[in-house]
Amino acid sequence: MRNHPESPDLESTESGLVVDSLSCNAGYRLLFHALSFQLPPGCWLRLTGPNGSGKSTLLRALAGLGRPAEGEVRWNGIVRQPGSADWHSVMLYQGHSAGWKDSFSAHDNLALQQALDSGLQTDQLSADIDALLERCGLHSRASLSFSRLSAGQRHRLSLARLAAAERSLWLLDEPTTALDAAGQALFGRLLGEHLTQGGCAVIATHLPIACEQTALELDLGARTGTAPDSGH
Amino acid sequence: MAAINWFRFASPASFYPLAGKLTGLFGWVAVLLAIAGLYVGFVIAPTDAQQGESYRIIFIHVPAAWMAMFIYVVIAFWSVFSLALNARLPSMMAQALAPTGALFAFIALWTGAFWGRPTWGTYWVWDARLTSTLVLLFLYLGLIALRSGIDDPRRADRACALLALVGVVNVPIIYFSVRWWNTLHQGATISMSAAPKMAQTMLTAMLLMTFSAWAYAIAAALHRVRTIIIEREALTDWVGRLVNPVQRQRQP
Amino acid sequence: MRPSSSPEPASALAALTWACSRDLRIALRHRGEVALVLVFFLLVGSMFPLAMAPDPGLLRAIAPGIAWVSALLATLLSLPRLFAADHADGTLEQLLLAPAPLAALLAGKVLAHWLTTAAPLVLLSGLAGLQFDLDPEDIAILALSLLLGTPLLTWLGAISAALTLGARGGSTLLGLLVLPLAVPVLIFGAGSVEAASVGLGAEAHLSLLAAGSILASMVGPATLSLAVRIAFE
Repeated sequence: MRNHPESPDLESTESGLVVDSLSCNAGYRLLFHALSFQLPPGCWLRLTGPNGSGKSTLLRALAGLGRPAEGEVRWNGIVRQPGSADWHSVMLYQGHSAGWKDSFSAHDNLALQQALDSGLQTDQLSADIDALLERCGLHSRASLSFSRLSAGQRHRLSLARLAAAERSLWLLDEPTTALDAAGQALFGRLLGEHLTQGGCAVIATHLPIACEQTALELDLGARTGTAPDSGH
Repeated sequence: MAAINWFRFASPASFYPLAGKLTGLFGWVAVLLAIAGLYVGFVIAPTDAQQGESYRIIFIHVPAAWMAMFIYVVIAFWSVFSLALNARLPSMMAQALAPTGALFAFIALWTGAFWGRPTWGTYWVWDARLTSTLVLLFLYLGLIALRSGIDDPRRADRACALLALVGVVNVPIIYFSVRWWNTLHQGATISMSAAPKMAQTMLTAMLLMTFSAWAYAIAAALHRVRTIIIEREALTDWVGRLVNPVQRQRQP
Repeated sequence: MRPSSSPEPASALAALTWACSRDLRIALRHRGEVALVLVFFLLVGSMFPLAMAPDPGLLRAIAPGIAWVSALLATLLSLPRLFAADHADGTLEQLLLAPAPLAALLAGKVLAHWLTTAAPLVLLSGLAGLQFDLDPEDIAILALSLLLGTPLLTWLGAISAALTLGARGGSTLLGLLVLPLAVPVLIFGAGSVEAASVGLGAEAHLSLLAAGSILASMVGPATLSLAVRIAFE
């Protein structure tokens, strides 16, 4: 376990996530242009906007899955390298597809994913897995085949993963859809704990999130302005 | 050499007019060289002792086969830039070249059949060069099919670039393996490389036709890349001005 | 600033083992899918004698070619299994974002795929050989050629499968991409048995296949990770 390395050269006055002039395309369309924001530690950003406004694309670009047309993403003053294992140890992305295998049980799914999330280092996980499942209300269905679980129960497993993984930055795309009231409350608590520990989160959602800390808001639908000559 | 800033042409917007001017130039060069080459090949070059007049098809067959191979290497060259620099124009050039390369491969196969029929009585022989050209045609079709199968243009660029690089590494391997396979089964095959001994005029004709094919390939690729540029830059201002010159005139 | 610290990225070997064992466990739960490919292999091989006169001499002569083409088609049929399921349920995306070397994770997947597809084919080739009345020595050469050539085939197929992820055209497009690239493997694989059966010795063919597979295993992981990253752009 190590702390995230600081840049040796400059005095990093920045902490947290800094997005600098990010522009993203989707196919032939420019989704957003010169987007900039800063997210200090302990804060979270709520992404809103109509369908197709680029919320998912922005999250994916931050995670490193898509290539932004231009712009820079910095974490703690250091330019993030998409695809680097270091960046992957800092952030956690959950998109629309949850990333669980139907062939495994909830327990096995979480065990496998948790092993990967922690860098395949330790073996002390099995006890933790049960505790996590308990906390997220999946204990009774832990050993059932995953395909037997409802959509809401599958989403709860994603919550368990969030609780387990030690990540500073959460990038979540509609995390509370399909969760019932208890699940949404659980998510709010998890988010609160994460932020209290100094983490950040960027969450695209159209549902209210019951979290103590108030969010910074970014509405991609309200941003206007077309790009100058940019093509594909 | 004038200090031309070549990178000025690296953007599709500035390459578009240049490509337009060069298309006409290379097109005319291709036509003139073709006339010269066909004249030398079909009129001046002597009749071959063994194969008579039918051998003359090699003046189309061989340049086509060479160009099919060469264009694939050029596509691979552009693919390297496309992946390394993440630039749009090299991928557009690669996209523009693929159909021309496929056409040349097809012409090589077609003319090979027309050569085979009168000479040896069969339309197709499984000799090394023809078979490798056939495999090359499939590689081209694969590139074209992958391009049309992926919707996102930038993703298609990079996927085709990688495929072209994997292919270009395999092309020599394919060629040598097919040659090995061919020599092993020597008895059953007739070789296309048993071309007639080259008289000087025949060589001249071959070279003229090859350069003509090269000029044609450049002209065709430049012409096609203009269409590709327009299509992919459709939402930009400069294309808008191009398409609606009336608005431009209306502006003070 | 931040009390929590982030984990150390995983080593390549750990990543490879994790991915390989995970995929093997999945294959174990979908044994039918795996068996289907092997049945297909035998089925395709059986089509040829039915399509022509089952003259023993003729069949013995064309057996290596048929066995190799059937193996090629069976491998092709199994390739979508490599990435399509993981792509659909979002697992592949998480692999791309894991604190572990992507090349090692993907190499683990390819290894598991080879173990569940090609390795059984090597064993089944004995059956195919019996169908065509090949000599035991020739059957051994056939099995060996499959053993040495299928890794190269699997890598070519994996890269093509990654490039066609999310592309229209499905497995037919995959076939168009893989089959031309597989021509050298086919030539040397089938050629090895032929050479052995006429007494020329198959060492040259087999060494070339082995060299190709080793080279592919060295260059493959990096190329495959690039291909998968491209698929997610």
